[in-house]
Amino acid sequence: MTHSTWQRPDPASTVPGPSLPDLMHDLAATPPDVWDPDIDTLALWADTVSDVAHGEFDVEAVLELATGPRSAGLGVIAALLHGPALRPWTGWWEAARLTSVAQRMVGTLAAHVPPSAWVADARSREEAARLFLDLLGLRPAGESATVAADRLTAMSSPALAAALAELAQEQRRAAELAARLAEKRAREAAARTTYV
Amino acid sequence: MSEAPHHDHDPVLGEYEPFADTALTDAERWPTLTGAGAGRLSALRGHPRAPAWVHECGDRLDAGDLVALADLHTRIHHAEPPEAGSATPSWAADLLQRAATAVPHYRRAWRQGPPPFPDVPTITRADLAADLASFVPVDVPLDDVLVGTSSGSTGAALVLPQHARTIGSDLVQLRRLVALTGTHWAPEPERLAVLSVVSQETAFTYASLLSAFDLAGLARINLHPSAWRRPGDREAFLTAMNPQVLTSTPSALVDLADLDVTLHPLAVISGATSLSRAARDLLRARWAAPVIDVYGLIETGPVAASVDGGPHRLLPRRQHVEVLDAKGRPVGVGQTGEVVVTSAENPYLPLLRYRTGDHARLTADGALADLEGRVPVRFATPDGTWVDAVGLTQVLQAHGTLAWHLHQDPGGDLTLRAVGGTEEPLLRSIERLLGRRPRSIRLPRPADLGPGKARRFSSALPGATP
Repeated sequence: MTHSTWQRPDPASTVPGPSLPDLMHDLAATPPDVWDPDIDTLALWADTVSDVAHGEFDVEAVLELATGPRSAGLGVIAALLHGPALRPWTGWWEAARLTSVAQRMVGTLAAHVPPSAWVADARSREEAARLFLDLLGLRPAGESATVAADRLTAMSSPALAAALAELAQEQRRAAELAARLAEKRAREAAARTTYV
Repeated sequence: MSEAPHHDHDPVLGEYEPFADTALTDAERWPTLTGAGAGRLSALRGHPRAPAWVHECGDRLDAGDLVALADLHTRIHHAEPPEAGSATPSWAADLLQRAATAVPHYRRAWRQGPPPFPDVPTITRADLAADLASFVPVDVPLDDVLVGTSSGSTGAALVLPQHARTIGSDLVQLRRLVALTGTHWAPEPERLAVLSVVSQETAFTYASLLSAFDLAGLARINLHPSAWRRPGDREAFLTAMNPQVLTSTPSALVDLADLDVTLHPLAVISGATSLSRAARDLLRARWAAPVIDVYGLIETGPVAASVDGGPHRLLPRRQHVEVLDAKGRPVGVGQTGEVVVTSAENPYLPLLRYRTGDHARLTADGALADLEGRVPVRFATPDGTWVDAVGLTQVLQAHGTLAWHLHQDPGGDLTLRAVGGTEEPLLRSIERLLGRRPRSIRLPRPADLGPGKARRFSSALPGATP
């Protein structure tokens, strides 16, 4: 997997966020409770969404992320959302956006870089922090959108690159699907013999 | 045509202009088109009494599709229907495995492999609306995507990717259903094979051919007078076409039955909304032909059908149907629950445990009884007791009502808009059930209930849709 596979479709779609060191500091300071296998991660996530976001919380969409070995990842990002670095954005998020971010971080990134590394390993911490901000539609304070996208791409480890490639593939597919469905040859449709 | 059609509420029309969405040649619309087929199409398009067609539409089936559909016909024509609520079929395990590797929504969650089928979370139309691409496999070429539009009963229309072969398989299913009524249906060069009918102010209409049925004719027409070029053309065209099979919604079929024209259909196919017993009886009496009620959704395609007015039996498709209670548990025989469909039919949109929003009672032999394509609604009596709409359906049907919409407003007052049946005895029956007499509005035609998927019951009272 090469780093060049990750291309944010629209670099200008991020807005300035917290400083990267502040967010990485919050990651390093993740409360040890999140690693407790008995913690109710779903409840923790529900409380987090209630505290920092607005809109409806889709339990089923997160249910699978809240069980199994990767569920700690949900705890880590819940802690991040509560942390000092992101506090100014409390109430700014839509619940659906946070669900999508959780799916990407826990469902995609954690498959390649375990959540423990997001906290313990300096390089992985920066990768996780940069990706997390990017998924939230933010970029590190002081960086332009293009610079932030470039740095995310440039520093990616093979594992993160694989995760980013998967994200890029999904974004390309979504764009291609929308374009195909908008084409006249698709809209001409096919004759139907049933009404359902 | 006397005047240009204008936009209505049919979501499939979108930003509709006549012929605005035509993009193909006839050779692309019917890749196996023959000289005889082209002649038939030309005659249909250019018939002197034809409506003012406003669209072109083929079935897009190539030679490979036709082989596959012929094989499907052979396999299912005499097949027994699968049973709802039965054990998970073997193909479902493959579908789960595929979803875990190729469908973004699932691969994010199932890195270590899919869960057992009963633990797969259900999804709804809202999930598709929120992020359609997450449910489309990443490894399927999108070159042949066609647009399907699902209006649903609420919310915005949903545009879905579909494949010509999947849509073409509907005809194979219809042929099996017609045969189940004891009727022989084979192409006849002098007759239109399928007449698809709508009855609304503006709609797509087109002349077409059925590649998988010897390139026999198919026409989609609109009964509305503005869709025809001259008075009398509608009746003359219908008579000349002498269609073998009529397919439509209950309301448009009732409108067609009301026209002063003699048709001799082999079978009548109703779909999209619930077919009331009175409407079924009316259609049967009008044409002395079997009336088949097909249940399905655009998202899933046809799922089940009733060929005799009884419970809907599943179609032999790669679909697994469950009936689940409010907590997502399978209901027992005789119990009512939500119809949940797992489908491997559409290569662009495999569905795992898709909640249809429709409810049915599971019969002992795996059929769907009392199928109502709607969210269950209950009505409040003055003393606060809830009465389920199922009882009202029985009363309304017993009084011969063809189509209706009963609404309870926030203050508890009832309004009944109804077509057909006996008005005063019906109002007294409803008053006995609900303790309130509805305000009654009589409508001449089912179509007057409004466009789109008809809702029979609604309520603005909190708690009315548990």
